[in-house]
Amino acid sequence: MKLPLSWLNEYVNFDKSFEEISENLTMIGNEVESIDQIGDISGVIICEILKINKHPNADKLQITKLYDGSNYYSVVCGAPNIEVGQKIFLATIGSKLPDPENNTFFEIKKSKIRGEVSEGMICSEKELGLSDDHKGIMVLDNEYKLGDTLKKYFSDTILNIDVTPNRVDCLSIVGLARDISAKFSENIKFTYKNSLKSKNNNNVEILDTDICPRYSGVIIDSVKIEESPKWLKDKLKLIGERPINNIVDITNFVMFEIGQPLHAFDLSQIKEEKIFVRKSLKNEKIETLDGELRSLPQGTIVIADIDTPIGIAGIMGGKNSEIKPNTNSIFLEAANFNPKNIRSTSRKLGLFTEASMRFERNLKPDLTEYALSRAVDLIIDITGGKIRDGMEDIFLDKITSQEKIILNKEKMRLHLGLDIDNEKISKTLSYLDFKYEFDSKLETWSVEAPFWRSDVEIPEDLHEEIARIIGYDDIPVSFLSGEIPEWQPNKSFETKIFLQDILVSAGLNETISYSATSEKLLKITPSNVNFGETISLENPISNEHSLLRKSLIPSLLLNASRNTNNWKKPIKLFEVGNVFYTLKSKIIEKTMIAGILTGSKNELDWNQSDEDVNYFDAKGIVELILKKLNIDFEVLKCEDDLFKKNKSSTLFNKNINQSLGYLGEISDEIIKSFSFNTDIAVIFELDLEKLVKSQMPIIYKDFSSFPQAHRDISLIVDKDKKYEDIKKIIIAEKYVIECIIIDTYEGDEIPDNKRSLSIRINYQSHENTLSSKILDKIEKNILSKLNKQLGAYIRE
Amino acid sequence: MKNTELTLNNIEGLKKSAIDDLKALSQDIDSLENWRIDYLGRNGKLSSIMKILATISNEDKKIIGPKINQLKVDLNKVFSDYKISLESKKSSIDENYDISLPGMKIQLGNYHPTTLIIREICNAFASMGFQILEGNEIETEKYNFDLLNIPSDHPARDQWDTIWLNSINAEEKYLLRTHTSPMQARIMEQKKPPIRVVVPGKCYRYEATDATHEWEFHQIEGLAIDKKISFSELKGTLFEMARKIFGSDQKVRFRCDFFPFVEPGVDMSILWDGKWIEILGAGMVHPKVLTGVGYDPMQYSGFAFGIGPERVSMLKNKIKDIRNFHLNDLRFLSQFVK
Repeated sequence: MKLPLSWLNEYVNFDKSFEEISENLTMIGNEVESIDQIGDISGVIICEILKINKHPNADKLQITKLYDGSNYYSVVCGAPNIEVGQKIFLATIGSKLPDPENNTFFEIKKSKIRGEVSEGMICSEKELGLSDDHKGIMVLDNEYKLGDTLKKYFSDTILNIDVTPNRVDCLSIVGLARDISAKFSENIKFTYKNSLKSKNNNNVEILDTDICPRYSGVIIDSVKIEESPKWLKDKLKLIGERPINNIVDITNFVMFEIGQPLHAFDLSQIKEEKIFVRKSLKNEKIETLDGELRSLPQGTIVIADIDTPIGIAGIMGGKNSEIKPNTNSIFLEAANFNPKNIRSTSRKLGLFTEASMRFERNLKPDLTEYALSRAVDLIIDITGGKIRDGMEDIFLDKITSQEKIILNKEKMRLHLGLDIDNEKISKTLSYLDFKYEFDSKLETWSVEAPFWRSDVEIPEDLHEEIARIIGYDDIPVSFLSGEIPEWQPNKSFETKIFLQDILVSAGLNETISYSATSEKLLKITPSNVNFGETISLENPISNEHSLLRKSLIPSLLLNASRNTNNWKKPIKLFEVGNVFYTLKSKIIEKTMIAGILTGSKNELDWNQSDEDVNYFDAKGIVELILKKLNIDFEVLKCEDDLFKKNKSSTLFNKNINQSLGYLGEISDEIIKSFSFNTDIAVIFELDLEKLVKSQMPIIYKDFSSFPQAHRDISLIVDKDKKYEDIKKIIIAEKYVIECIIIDTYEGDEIPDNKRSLSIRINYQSHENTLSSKILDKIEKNILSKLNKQLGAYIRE
Repeated sequence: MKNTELTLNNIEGLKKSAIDDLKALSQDIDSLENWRIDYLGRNGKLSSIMKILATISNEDKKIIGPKINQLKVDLNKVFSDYKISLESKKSSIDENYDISLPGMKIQLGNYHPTTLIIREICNAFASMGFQILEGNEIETEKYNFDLLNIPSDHPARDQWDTIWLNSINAEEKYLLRTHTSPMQARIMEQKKPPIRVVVPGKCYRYEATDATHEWEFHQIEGLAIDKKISFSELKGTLFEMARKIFGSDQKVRFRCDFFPFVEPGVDMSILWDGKWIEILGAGMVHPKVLTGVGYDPMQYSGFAFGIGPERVSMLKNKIKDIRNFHLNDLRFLSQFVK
């Protein structure tokens, strides 16, 4: 909502700077988003066009001779509407015109245009920041004096206000004036008046209930359709409206002044001069004032004559009944329509107007008569029209007794934490035009909100009214003093934080990706995991983000590949985020932890290997996570097209009898579908809730104070035998506390189908120092079991 | 007795010759090893002296035994001392050791800046007794709007342009939560007052992205419910948070704003580079919200707030474009070293 200060000043009794007004409007809830200074351009003066000559080198340009009362100027101009004798605004050399699109200025310089000297620029309204009109230069009436500055005639400050959806009253100059006046402890210079006589209802009929609580109208004959007077046009321009004709301009003016939308119909276009307010029927169409032919959703509230709609109620009038230059009689409407219906129609049609914005915000029906009376007065005054009878007024469900809200001083004190004295409370209520009866014994106010404050319903609303006018700054600062709630551990959140810490320590960078993804990326989700059905979005931001992700892997691949061109160090990323799908129409949303490593293991460095990452780098990170969370797991084979054959696994936990997640090397095919600089990427993905569930408590055991002994063995074993199975046999033996794989070897001296594994076994007893005799015996046992079960034997 | 003396002399002599020999060694590990075999080896001089023990009387053993043991200990000690000195000399020999080479590169990753600021803000509230909870990003219309006093077909809904899910089942209309506020109702339903919680999480809006708008972003919801919680405590709690995040000198203000689920409503702004910048919306929980979850507004009151962590991070780190938070570009991410 634009608030020109010149207009505001017509209703207020204070004299404050625009900074002060702006600051206070913002603090009481009407946020001033920006401020426009109008007419504050030095060097723009009024001149008369004395002569117009053709430009010798350009068909569309002319050379004008201008006179400001003392100086002459020669200015090149391309506007189509210049004529000798016109008074115009000349931006002289050095003046800086606003360039709002770039939020900067445009300086006028002495220049040659196609070889002809130009000493300034003749301006359009748009160039002067007065309106959006740029069809031609701005032509001034005779009352403007030569040599006067722009500032003398057009000097204003416009506050652009973000009115909150609860305050329909502040979508009017009067409403904003009232609010800011209350802040400055003043009342406004404005009262609602209705000087119209009532007449019997015979022109209007409301056919459906619940669509139109009130319909007021009046017929005015003998109107003369003309351009509006200057004061009216100027006001509309200030507020950003384009003047059309006197009737339409008056309806717009009244809407901005007091907030009630009005509409004028050409009476001659209403069959039998009879108006029906009804819901639209199937397949009804109307051409609206903007020239669009619109199919009306069934149930749209329409204003119609006996045959056909002549307007979409509360949104936009029909072309068929529009005010034309030869219109003689009008039907002027000020009505109130069902806000929900207006809102839903306006959304369905994609048609949002100044009128619809006000109706959908619960405008009260009381306002119609005042708006109608104000508009009629102006129409009679400006157009010479005559009222035919009086006001026709259908007011359904008129509320005769307003409900009282009890404001209790003690309750307000507890709610706000601020003690306000009674007089201040009473005064604040008065400035806001709330009626009240004060009970000094109970210290309560029985309050009646004015009709325009449809947002005030309960005592808490009044607490806000008092607090915002007194100022939130006055509310003291205190700390929560109540009992601190019982602490309930949040295992998943704690685990999430812990995992982020581990992964950052392990050298991975955290990413956060969009939850919605494309069809192409979604396909990369591992297929062997039971993910259920994909969830799609009804109104996605774009096709790139139309489906909810089921895995974090696709976005990690995308993120890693996008970094390859600009990041020459190892790319190691992780994400902790939610994935989504449905199982039997039930929504599953869970948190996953996933990571990706691509390219080399280490930063290029003199004392580190420059090898690429492989399966075991991902596995190492997963093992670190599981070890630190104290989770037992088994590594099982996992075949999936996502991975290179045999280079992937799932991590199985026996406690919950489920897989915790998976890891592996991404298949060549998928790597190729991204733009990587490397051919290797390894990933892992784990389910947070499963990690939380499979964690074991820490069980402390006394440590042994006897020395540890170690023995190294080298085994020859078939290639298809897994280390994990060898380890299981070794670790099961008494006194074995640890089994470490030191080396694996295939090749020379080893049979083709076999490999050699060097293993260190650590032994320790809780009772005594283990003698070599005992160690020999245990080692023999181990070797014999390994030989029997896996065919392994010692490498000589 | 004579034997005894003889043996004792032998022990002394052996000790002296061993030490003399050791001193005479050229300083290398091979000659030391030869010395070790000569004196301490299985067939060495110490061994042969020990063999004497088997040939003498028990009485003599009492005298000679400890002496031989002492000799063994002494010789082992001079051996190991010599070896250590030899090794330490050897390792200090490299005069061209380049201490200027870079140390072992230990790779550490970085937290996403959103994670860092969420942790920082949540910790500020945790120190005031707030617990951290999380909720689902898929929500129902009921929790995202209805229970928050935002009825359908109400213009207040325009503040939250919504991304809806295609129909999943007939019971509910689902959406991607437009704010973390649905957790207010969920928490009140699950817990009994007193309540103090903060809920960080992702939110989604159906809106075009630009330097200051993202369709996916984070919020931190806060809720405190108890008997007699006042607006003044809301102010104290949030000002304290701002002090912790921005420092004691930071200018902070409350101004009136409208959110349907609070009354009175607040916009909290901070003065930043000469301008007031909104960092959160807040207010006293609306009685309709309390009633909606079965709380008696005559008995309980409370406050709620919603913070935009990315916006706070943008201010603190002078990040000009909110879209950077979703680029996942290491040139951006690697700068937040905490």
